[in-house]
Amino acid sequence: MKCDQVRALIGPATDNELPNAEAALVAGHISDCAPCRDQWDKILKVRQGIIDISRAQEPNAGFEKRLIAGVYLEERKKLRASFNWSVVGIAALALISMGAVSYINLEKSKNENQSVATAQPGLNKTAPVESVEVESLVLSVGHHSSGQENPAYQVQYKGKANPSGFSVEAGFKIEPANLANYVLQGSDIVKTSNDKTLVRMCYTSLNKGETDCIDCYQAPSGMLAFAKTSTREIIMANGQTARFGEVDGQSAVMVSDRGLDTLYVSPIAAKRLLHLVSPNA
Amino acid sequence: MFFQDTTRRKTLEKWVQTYSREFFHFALFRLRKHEDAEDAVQITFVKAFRSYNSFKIGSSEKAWLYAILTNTIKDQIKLATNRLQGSSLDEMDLENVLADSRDAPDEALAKKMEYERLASGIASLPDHFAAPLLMREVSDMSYKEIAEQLVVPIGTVMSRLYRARKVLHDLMTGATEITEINHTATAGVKEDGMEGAYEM
Ligand SMILES: [Zn+2]
Ligand SMILES: [Zn+2]
Repeated sequence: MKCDQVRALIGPATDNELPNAEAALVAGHISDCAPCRDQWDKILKVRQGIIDISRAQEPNAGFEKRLIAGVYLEERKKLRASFNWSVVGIAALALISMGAVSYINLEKSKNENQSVATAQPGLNKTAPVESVEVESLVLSVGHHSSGQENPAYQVQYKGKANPSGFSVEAGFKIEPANLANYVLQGSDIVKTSNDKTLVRMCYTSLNKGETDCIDCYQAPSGMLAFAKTSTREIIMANGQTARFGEVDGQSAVMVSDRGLDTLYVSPIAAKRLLHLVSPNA
Repeated sequence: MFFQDTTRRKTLEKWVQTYSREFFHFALFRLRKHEDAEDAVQITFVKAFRSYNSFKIGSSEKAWLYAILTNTIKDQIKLATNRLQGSSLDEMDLENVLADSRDAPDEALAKKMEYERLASGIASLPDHFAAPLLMREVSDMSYKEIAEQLVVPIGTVMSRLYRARKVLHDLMTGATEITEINHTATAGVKEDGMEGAYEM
């Protein structure tokens, strides 16, 4: 084989695109011919460079998890957008005239006592503590929710940035959750139709195969209230008291501490959620 | 709602497991920035998931996903108009390459420079050269797959690969400068492929 013929085959040979016989001819030729071998080496040099650069540049930890959760987040946003277009426009007037804007308070009065430990009962008679009903909130905006969007909740996506950064906008000091092996996937501000502002932070697992996120809602103490769920008070491993219940088929744990209500909701097992929320101190 | 749609969900998980790393590297070579590459992959999967129903069973899933990825990257390049001006090479952290190297320090430094030139070279290549090169080197596609993906004859794939490799090698060794890339890469391309000797 002449150099001319070989040159045209070197690329395909390095790419394993030649039949065995031809590949053998090329290999034979370059073992004896320095200029042709040089061509071969040049291709391999570029290839090795691409391999080395790739190896030095892996995606950040939890990439796959973040991708999956990201797709679901986008999907929910899209659902919300189409819902807003198709339903809110038409139904807004009707809702307001029917008094549906106060929908999330419907069940408040009869259940407040059992759900919000920090609520001040004395206020109930004159100015009721306006709260946000956990059930309708989760049903509407929870990432694993089975419910319809509820126009009483408007979600504003804030991205992956540290949520403490928008404490001012939220109107209270946000404390990001610390869940072992979980990372922040995205944060949102949730505005309710009764002028409440709370925050939802979505955490996804770094463990392979775990695709269920943990949604962490945070609000000033007394704002979040279980209405229909029968909750029980529990003492967690770190000594904190918490409310535990099941909302929309998911585990829900609410911790009230230092002026904040923090509600964790996830389809993961209750025991595991409690362990994450309250690792043994 | 769709969370109960387990078939779709399983498919998404399979796509992500199979392609996310490869897509990431593909995107990174074009976009340079780690975050931009991750975003491109994210957008690709969001688009794919949305148009899941329009994907025809029996056609190549990989080809379909790559079509979405390459279009997404093109869009992102268009958006980042100052991409080349701004790519001061520090976006790609090549220290890891060096840390691993068994070369002597001066050789390691030379290699690092070569790799920086290579990386910025790939980012600067016109799309019709970069795409076949990355499909071959990053995605391990055959000529046939690349030809189908780009809707060009196999000979064209070969000539574009040849040109891209030549330019990149010259860049690595300092024989060409990046500013010459577009000119060099596109000059005298024989789109029909195999005729003529491929002198590097
Ligand atoms: Zn020869
Ligand atoms: Zn979530």
